[in-house]
Amino acid sequence: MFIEVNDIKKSYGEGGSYVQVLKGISTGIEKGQICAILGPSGSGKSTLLNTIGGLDTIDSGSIKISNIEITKLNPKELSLYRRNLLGFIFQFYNLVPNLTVKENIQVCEYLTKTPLDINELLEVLGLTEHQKKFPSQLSGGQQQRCAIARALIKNPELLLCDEPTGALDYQASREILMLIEKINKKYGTTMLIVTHNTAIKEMVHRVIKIKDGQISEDYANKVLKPASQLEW
Amino acid sequence: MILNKRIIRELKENWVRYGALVFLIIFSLGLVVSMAGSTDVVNYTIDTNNEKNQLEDGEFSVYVPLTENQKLELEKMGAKTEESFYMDLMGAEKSILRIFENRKNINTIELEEGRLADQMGEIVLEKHYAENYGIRVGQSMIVNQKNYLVTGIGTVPDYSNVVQNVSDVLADLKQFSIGFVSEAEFKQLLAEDINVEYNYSYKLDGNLTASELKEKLVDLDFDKTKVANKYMQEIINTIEKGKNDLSGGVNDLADGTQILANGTSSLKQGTNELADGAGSLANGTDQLSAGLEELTSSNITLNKAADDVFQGMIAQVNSEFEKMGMTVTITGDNYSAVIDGLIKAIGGSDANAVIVLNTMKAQLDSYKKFKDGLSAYTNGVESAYSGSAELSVGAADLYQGSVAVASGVSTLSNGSSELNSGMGEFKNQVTSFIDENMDYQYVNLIAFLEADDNQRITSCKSDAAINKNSALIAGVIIITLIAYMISVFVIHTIDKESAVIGALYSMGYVKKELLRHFMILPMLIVTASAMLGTGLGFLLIGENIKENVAYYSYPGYSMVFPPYLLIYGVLLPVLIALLVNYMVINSKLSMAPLKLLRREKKQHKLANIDLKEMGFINRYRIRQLLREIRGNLTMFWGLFIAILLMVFGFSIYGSVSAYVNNVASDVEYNYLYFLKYPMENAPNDVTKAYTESLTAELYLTGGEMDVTVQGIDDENPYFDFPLDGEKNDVIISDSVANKFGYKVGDEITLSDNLEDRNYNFRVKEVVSFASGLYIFMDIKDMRELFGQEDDYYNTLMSDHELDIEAGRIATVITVDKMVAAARQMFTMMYGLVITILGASVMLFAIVMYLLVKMMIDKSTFSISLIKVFGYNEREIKKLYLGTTFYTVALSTLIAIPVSKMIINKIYPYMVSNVSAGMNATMSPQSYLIMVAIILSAYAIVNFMIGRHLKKISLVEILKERE
Ligand SMILES: Nc1ncnc2c1ncn2[C@@H]1O[C@H](COP(=O)(O)OP(=O)(O)OP(=O)(O)O)[C@@H](O)[C@H]1O
Ligand SMILES: [Mg+2]
Repeated sequence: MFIEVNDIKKSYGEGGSYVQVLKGISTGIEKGQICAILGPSGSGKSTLLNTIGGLDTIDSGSIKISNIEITKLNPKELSLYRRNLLGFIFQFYNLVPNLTVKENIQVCEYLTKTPLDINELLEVLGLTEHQKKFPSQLSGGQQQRCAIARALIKNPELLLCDEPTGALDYQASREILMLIEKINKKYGTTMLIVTHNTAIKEMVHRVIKIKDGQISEDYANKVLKPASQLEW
Repeated sequence: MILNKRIIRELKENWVRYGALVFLIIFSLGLVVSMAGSTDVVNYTIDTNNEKNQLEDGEFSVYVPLTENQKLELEKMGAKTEESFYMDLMGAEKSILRIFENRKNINTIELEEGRLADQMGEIVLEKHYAENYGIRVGQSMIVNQKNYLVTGIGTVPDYSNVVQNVSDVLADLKQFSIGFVSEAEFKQLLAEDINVEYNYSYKLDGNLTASELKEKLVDLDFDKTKVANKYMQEIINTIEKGKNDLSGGVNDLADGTQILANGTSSLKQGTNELADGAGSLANGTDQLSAGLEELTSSNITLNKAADDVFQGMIAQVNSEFEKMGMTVTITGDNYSAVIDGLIKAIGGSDANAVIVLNTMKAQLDSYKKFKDGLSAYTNGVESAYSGSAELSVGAADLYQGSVAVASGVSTLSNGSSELNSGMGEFKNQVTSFIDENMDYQYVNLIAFLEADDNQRITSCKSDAAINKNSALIAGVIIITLIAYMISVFVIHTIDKESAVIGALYSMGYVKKELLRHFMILPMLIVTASAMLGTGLGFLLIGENIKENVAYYSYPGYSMVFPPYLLIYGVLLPVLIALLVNYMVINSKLSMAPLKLLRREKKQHKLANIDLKEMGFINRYRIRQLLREIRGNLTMFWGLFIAILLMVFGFSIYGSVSAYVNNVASDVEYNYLYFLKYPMENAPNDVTKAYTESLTAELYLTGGEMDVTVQGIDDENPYFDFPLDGEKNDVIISDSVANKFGYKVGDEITLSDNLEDRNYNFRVKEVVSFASGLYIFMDIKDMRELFGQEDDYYNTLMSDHELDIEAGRIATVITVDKMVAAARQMFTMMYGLVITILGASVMLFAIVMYLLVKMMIDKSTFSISLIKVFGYNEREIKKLYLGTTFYTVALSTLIAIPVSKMIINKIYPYMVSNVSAGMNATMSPQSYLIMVAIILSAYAIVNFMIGRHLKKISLVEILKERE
């Protein structure tokens, strides 16, 4: 198992404002798989993703990524873990405003000794003609593609996406999903995608549904539908 | 690191902000470095010149020139001396030119042009004087009605501040200067002129201290008959006459007693032979009468001389006390009790002192007995004389009472022969007493001044030192402020890009990398502008030094670039910026990545206070103020520093203009003459006073400064305060009060450095008198205190010019000239005041603009949002600029009084070497002007920000999220 999550619990606040967000989640994901995490708003999807990404701590349980117990890492080791293994894609793209597309990607190229070929990546993501533009000169979809390129340039083993299509329209969303599919095939990247878009569940290897801090459904798709054929 | 590419773009996007900061740094460092640098250049120039031209260790002046032997003796002890005699002659346009002969080994002339005067009729001039009167080498000029060829122009190290008297507040370079002539020329002048100052410069070789030298000079014998100055000769004659009168009186006394003895023995015979007839009686009484008359004629002189001797002994004992370190003063009446008290106080602890004191007391006792005896005796003689007159008149009556008389006369006869035999012994005693003790009154030394206390030598450097220190301190304060402002901007950027930073953290960036990245811009800005500012500062040294060069007299300067200034100007700002930015940015970047991603801000606790009771606008404003508490605090400090500078500028202006006005209004006489040699009969339409110069300790610097003690009487028309009270009560001028920190009721000690004596006074009142440093007291008490005759004076006050022989005058103070000099000081200060005020206004406006703009930038989203809601521009201005007004108003309200307090404390240090009491005063108008300046700066910034507010578009809300 590439990702092993074992009975993790997480709560926020104390006293009156105490909320248990994750109430014992256990699951495992194989290397190279795409996994969609679905669930109603406030159910704890982002929290789960963040704890796996080492951005948030948990109260109890264990998270093993590539056999590393990340709950035991100190902040320095955590950032090393993120640096070596992870890529992040956010709903709001969080690009550096005064760097060009290419430069934004280079910011993360810097983090690894074995980056992907940047021009090839630009080509794959259809950003070659936009590479000299600043984020403010791009459409939302283009910005998200840039953010994806930034996350992919260091060829991460695990890509964490929190609602990557949340701010995009139908067409742009579909393009992003097609890209994700393509990258997974091309580079064998393991992917966790938190999303509200239920159509996505047809194109991924695994679907985990969370409700009220617990896994309500967890299954694998036998047949995957290509992203280009998704309808919603 | 690719991330660093954004730095250039950040710089371009916010060029106004960073440009303003760069300008501030360059400007303030340029100012500071040029000020400090010019001080160093001045110091270096003066030090090199002092060394090259053998600056004296000190100087002294005497009544009678030292003999060759005495000079050799001093040299053997370790003090090389060189004559630097001078006389003040009239030069161009009634100015005073102090003429010296060429110097050989000490304080030699540094020629700027031409050559030394080596022929008769040649002269070398001080450079400012030559420049002021447009005199060039090769031209001729008239000094003292005689034509001189100017052969050179230069400076000397002992007159870098060209003042006539060491206590002068300011040099007046047109009115007074110095010149140098050849030895032969000087000799001829010496032969002509009456009023030459026998001044000597000395250099010590290390084996002798200045005070040892002074002691030696005080003890040095000199030939009183060689006193060349006729006025001094007059004084010596008067003193000598007193001495001669005393010994003459004693001789007369001896003679008289002899005659008396003879007369009484004849009388005795006469009475015995009473029966033999009235004839021999008549002879006897006549002889007796003659003898007694002889005696009475010298009675007055005798008593007066005896009293003088007694007072001399008292003074002697007092000065012994001084030497022994005791602060008591005795008088003829209380000496016995005082000395007994001292003996008791010392007790067994110092047997030697007790012996000395006992000896003193015994000496005084025996002399007092003699004096009392003498006056009893002279009284007796007087009544005997009147008795004898009656005796001869009533010769017939005597006949009848002859038997009764016979026994009385017999007693008289015995007494007078006893007296006669003791007389020889007594006469010897008095004579030897006169020889031993009455010589102390003549000390050849008139003045003794160490180079370190000589403002002609020191004031240029100490002036510069004060400027430098205050500039350096101000520089550090401003750089810290700027560094902090930069960090505030960087934080603003970090806040704005908080989500991006969170994203970068998520990708695996570590804090160190981001910290380094965010430090680059501030460091770049500070480093570059510090280097530019320091460079500019060095370039501006020439400009900055101009005023100093124009005022002080020293050779042309050569540039020096002291390494510490590079450290101060470049390294220090960089270090400050590094420290401040590291601390602030580091704490910002230490937030958890998730919090950064969510744009969670560390909200200040204050931001959550309950404001329910307030109206919406005020509530909004206060919330905005609290949300931007860091920016507002920074603005507060920035404005505070700007206002401090402003108050400083206005205070200098106020202080100097108050001085100018007060000098003109406080001083009511027009002419003040200090006489070196007062004449017996002063002109009748003048007011006499008595002036002594003493020194007081400056609590600020630990140094000393001369004060003028002036004895005046109740009839003095120029002063209207009463002089009654205790003997040691004094009235001090407000200048003295603030210079030395004296208050009413204080016991103050002033010292006479020449005589090593201290005087204690009690401050009775403080009066307004701006000119110089004056202490006033009752002239009668003052004469007594300084042991002067009842009618002594040495100062004349007048409302018109007096016709006095030049040789008698030490100094004339003309009030018009004094006021003119004060005005000149005013013009000198003007440039400085303008610079300070300009800098403060600029700082004020820039700091306010930058910070307000930053706070508006931060709120772009909300502003755009409330615009969408339908608020109009005026309302938006109210909401967002209103908070700025609070900060500006609060800063102004707090900063003005606090700054005034700070400046009040600092100012005395800045003027510590000016011999006048100057207060940091600000007129009400100045306050008004200041508030007006602040308000207009605020209005301008407000206008500019208002324009910026207008530009915030409605679509801003679509681009960003918050
Ligand atoms: N820092 C926090 N402090 C307190 N409560 C928090 C915090 N972060 C999240 N929560 C709470 O935890 C719960 C889960 O939040 P989470 O962001 O994981 O939800 P989600 O499933 O991602 O929802 P959505 O689909 O709306 O993004 C929510 O109820 C939220 O209020
Ligand atoms: Mg979420």
